[in-house]
Amino acid sequence: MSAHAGDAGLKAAQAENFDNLNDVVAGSAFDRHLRFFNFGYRPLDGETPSGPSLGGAFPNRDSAQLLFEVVGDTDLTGARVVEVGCGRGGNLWLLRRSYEVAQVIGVDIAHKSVVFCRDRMPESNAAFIHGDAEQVPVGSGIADAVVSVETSCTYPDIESFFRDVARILKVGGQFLYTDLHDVRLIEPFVATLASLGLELTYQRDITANVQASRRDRAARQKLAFGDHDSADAAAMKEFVGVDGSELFDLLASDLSSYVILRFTKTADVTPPAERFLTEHEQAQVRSHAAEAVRLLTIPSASGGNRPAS
Amino acid sequence: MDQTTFEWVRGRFAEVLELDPAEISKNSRFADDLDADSIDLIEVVNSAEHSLGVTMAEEELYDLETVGQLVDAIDRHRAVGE
Repeated sequence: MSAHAGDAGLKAAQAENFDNLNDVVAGSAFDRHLRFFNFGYRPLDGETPSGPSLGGAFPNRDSAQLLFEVVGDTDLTGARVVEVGCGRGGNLWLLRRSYEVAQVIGVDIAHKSVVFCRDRMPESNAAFIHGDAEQVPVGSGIADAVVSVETSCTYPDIESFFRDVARILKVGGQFLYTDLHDVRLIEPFVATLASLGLELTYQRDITANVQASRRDRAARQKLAFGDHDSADAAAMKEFVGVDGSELFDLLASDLSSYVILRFTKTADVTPPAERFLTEHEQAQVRSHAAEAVRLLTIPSASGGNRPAS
Repeated sequence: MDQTTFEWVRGRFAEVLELDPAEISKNSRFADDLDADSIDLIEVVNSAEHSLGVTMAEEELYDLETVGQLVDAIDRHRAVGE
């Protein structure tokens, strides 16, 4: 049995962080343009970036590029795409804009992110649901692709998420996945997904690209969150991962790797009650999730720190 | 009208980017020529909305590459009396 007494509290804290972040952004001049909350991807010298080319002043450019790298050469024409941890909907917005997907469904634990997405993408082929990544509230076998970008590192029970990804996908569907992971856990994660019927088709370490994006963009992006007093400013500095923050150090460390993984679901597997990850691995996952949620803490905007809107 | 909008946009970019207005032309590309990023562009657009009384959809900004393209976009809105 993997459910853990602290998990609900951790998830509530994570939802609160992102609800608070939405409040902070709502008070800034950049509210309607800020659709992504991730570290982004910067092509290195000599590298040909994936996907459509983006203008030099394209908002959230590095985050858009991260999605393009995650998608790679995957054909999403006519696809129904589910994104788990969709945040403010940037990835699904971009998939609709740049690929001919048929339908997008976003799930997020932060209610205010879901409200933002619904407001920004009212089209009938876009749906946004408030829900938990470890119990995704969508039917089985409905997705041609599941997307997950820089969100699973906060899940205390990641195997439940993996099991749900396998459940949601059609046979032949794609799992397009990226995150910052403890290097020791990548192999067990891939093995777990293999046991669930998902075959690894692509793996690439992009840590240097993500670091390059943080080094170049983090200080600027912090400005987009508006003016804050010193407590908020420190939190935002950490959140956006400026050079010198704990998150930046984690990126730079040999212990972690920011990796793109793509899988194809080759078979429907009925998962056993027994877990694939060991108790020790599950404890590591839970500990890292708690650490990530701590680092991403955003103070409540009701504390008087919210900038005038 | 067009020149007025251009003068206004040039003035705002010069302020935001701390450049001499003479360095900014209609052909100036935001990133390559002015070293401007999306945050700079959004600042100028937000100012235009307040000062010139136009409302621009987010989508309109995403394919803009030059100062002249922004001026044209603002003028399209001014022409319809927004």
